[in-house]
Amino acid sequence: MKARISAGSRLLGNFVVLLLGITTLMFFALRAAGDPIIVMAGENAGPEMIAALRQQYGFDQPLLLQYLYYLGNVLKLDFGASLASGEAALPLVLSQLPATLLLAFLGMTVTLVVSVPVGAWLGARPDRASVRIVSAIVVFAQGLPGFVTALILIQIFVVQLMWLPSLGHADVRTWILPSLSLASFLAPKLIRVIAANVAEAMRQEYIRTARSIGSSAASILWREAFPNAILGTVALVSAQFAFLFAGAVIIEVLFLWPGIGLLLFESAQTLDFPVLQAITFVVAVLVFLVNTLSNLVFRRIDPRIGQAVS
Amino acid sequence: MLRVAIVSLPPAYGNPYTAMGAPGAVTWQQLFDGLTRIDEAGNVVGALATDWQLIDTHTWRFRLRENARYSNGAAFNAETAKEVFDWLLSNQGRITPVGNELRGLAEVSISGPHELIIRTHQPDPILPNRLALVMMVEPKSWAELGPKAFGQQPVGTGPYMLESWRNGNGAAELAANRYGWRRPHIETVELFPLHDHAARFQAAISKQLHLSQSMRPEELQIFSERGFDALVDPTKQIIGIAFDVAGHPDSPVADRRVRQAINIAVDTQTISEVITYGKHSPASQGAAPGVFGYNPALKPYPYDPIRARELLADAGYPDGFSINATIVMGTYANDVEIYQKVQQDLAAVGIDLILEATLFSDWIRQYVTGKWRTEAFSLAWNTAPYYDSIRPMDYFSCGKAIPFYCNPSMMPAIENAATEMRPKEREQALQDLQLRFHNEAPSLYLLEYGHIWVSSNEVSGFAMANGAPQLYKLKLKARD
Amino acid sequence: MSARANSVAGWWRRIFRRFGSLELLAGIALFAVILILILFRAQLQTHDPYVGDLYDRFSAMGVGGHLLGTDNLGRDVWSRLLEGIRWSISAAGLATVIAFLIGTVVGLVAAQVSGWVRTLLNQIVDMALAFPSLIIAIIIVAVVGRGFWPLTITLGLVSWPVFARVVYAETLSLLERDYVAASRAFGARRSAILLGHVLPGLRPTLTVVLAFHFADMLVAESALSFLGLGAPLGVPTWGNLLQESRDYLMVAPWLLIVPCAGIIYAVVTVNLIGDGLSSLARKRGLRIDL
Repeated sequence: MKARISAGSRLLGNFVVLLLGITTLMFFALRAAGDPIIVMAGENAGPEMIAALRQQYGFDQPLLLQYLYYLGNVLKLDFGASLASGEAALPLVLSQLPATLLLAFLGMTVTLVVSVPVGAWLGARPDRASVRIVSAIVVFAQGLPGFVTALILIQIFVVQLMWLPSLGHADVRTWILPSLSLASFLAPKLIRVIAANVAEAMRQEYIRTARSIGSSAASILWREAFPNAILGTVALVSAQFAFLFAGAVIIEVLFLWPGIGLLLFESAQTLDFPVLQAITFVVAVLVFLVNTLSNLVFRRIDPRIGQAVS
Repeated sequence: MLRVAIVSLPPAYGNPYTAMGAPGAVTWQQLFDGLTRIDEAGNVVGALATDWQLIDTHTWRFRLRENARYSNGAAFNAETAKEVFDWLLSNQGRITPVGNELRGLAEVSISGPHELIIRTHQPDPILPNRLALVMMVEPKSWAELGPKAFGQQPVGTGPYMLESWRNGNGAAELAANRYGWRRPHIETVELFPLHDHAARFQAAISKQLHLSQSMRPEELQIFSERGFDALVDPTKQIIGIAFDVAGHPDSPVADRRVRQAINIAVDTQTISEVITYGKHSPASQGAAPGVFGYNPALKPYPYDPIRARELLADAGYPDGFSINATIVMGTYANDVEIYQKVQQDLAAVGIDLILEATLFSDWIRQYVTGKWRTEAFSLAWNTAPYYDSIRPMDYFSCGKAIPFYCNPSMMPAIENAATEMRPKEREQALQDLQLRFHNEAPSLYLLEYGHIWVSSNEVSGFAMANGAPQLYKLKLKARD
Repeated sequence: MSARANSVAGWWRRIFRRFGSLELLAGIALFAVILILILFRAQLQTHDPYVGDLYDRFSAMGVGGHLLGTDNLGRDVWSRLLEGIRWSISAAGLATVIAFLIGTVVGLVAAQVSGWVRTLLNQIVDMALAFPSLIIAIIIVAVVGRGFWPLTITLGLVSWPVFARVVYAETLSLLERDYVAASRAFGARRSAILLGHVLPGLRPTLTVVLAFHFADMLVAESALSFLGLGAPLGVPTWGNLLQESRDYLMVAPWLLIVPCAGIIYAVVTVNLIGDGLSSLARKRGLRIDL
């Protein structure tokens, strides 16, 4: 029990350090990227106007002072207000988070529903002709950038056939194309990982033993091969989570999906520092959660690796 | 429900003083009115003001519309108008882009319940034009909430009022303003901010939208096959590439002959015909026809690469040279294509133009601070939405806070045109200036550009004014 | 069979045994085509990739001497495709190398140290993973501008954590193996273990990950172009070609198909090589944990 508590507090400690590190890095990196005051002042602004605006937003203070003030606020979970709209930054980001989580959930669901059966089937019998063809299709799909898939899906289902909408978020029909597009980012690779793991597992000694004592192929797959496949899957997904988020930005922009990816894109145009900082914070928390979860799964499946990795 | 796709919503939402014109104007003009308005033909007409006179060179009297109300029921009158102007002239208001535009105002006073007296520091012949972009907010809410919160829940006299900045579909939702002095035919509007052009096109062509902003000329064929109409915004800008003469005095572009050579080396006629399918004509000067001060005697620089080479040789560059230009992509439809064609034409006369595409935030930082990394940059002669050619001359001269082109010999003429109150003399002065600018060529004059809007066959009555669609005039056709 | 046929068959058999699998052979053959296209680019291009005749714009494939048609400025698509191969392949390749170097070093070190150093390194990897790649790209473009190196560095900086995590997990797993424990028990020094067991043990996994990472970088380059942060304007990288083609999908669909086909071709090639290497390793009795 004691070990558990100290492990937990160590985890929490790591978490806090991670967040502080990221918010600090973001603070200085953003200021290297540009000047939001000038964007706000507009094209016709003169130096006095810009100076006055700078003062109004506290950008005229020495950088270190600004940083300390900022840090103090971050510890209170106050990321300031959007430079453009004045909305409180963190609440704004949190209000748009559900849409992204929904998209991620839908995308992952589609991905798993497609990848697991296909991957298992591909891995179980790697030498049949049909398998080679499907394999080829999967590699093909891996080469298609995500936004191209979205473009093609929209062209077929929205423009030509007019079956589905590409705009909107309110009803279920608007969820179909975005989740398919997001799934196309991850599914091909996941299929291959599952297939590789399943194929590998099938080759193990214990499979042969199980087979020799009469267990059916399906039950072998289920009991022995899958846990290993899941290990590989979880490792892949958690490592790719950040990529998934980047892909989600593109999907959200294309489909006008009101999530934090779209918010990130829009805020980047005007260099809205507070919102960008809040988004980074929230994404860091999410990444941390995903990592922790995946480590837990590791530990359940293979205690040896779990211990080493954590 | 009317569904419209626009390039973007104003980042500051309903705070109409955070920018002059695009992109916010499209949204703000549905929610607010100014004292005046520029109509479809480019004339300044009344909106919240019914008429106005000059009392003397520095003073105007504006008679205001009676019975106009804000969307919260409050009345619009001289008192509320004065409160708005006072804020814009205050320390806080002065540092907003709109407040900055009104820095020529000295004082606004009331001469009757629906009458305003506006006094300016200098004679300002285009004050009525300027006021077309000064949206009248409801001053009590403005004062109570403060600009930022007001932006979330704006209150204006426009035909529509705001329901939500992001509804379930990710769009801004507008509803008819029941106190408005103009009743819209269509009760609710959804504004979809689709920044990405291809996404906007696909949404429009699949009939998910009734109206879509900024489409490309090569798409119009496809649109008309599907029953769409296209309208080119009559408020035009002259797009082009300006030269940082002041910041790069030793570069080739500091020489007028070089700038003229660049103008005649580029085949704007072909660009207009082939890339824009004739929708955008070649520009002859820093204004389009219909703008006050447009000089009809001027023709676009002819396409003459041989003469261009001669000019370059005269200026001391017989073998050409290399320059860089900072451009922002996507501001105007086809701009990327146009700039690359310019690049090709210049390469044919020995000028190696390197295009550095960058983000708007980077472009504006260089523009405002006057520190250009490159010898040239993309910039438009923006006479919109004043419809008056004096405005771009403010920044294409020593009048800009940190100028990129400063020719002191032109300043007296510019200052004169800016304060000349007699229309005929003023028009002449502006036309003379257009000729001088044409010859000085502080920029490469490219095309007379206006955004192309498409409307589906499910709506009728589409018109534009002030650079924004007049949504309240649209009617939905009954479905058969 | 005649003696001649025998020797041909024998020849094939030797190649096959050397390469270990059909996939690897196919992959290398396909990659050789890419190399030829890169090396003989100048001879193979039919037109200037940067100049076009406006009156020729949107020509379909095969029309008017343009093998793959022309684009919105009348530029020959085939020549632009060839021009872009060099950019795209080298940017993706160098980005992979950068990510590989940074990630492998971090992963190796993290697996071998313990205590707060290991925790710190893991923190850094997590931080790098959590940092939105869009912001990194914006910052690099704002500070350095757009060009070959900014593009390559951005791609590398965004993706090195992938290597770090794989190398870390894999190294840990290797260090736990019985034969390593045995070596330690026999007093072998750390560097000997590293050189003798860890690095060879990493090689199969790393070669496979390298191959797939390269494919990812090719696709990522096009994503950067989508966001307006990729290669400079006018450079016909596959990402730029894809991005530019989006506005003309209904007018000139071949503008999308061609760079797409190019990317898919390269990705298929790389995957074949990766698959081939992994089945080769398997045949030689090594396991690969992806």
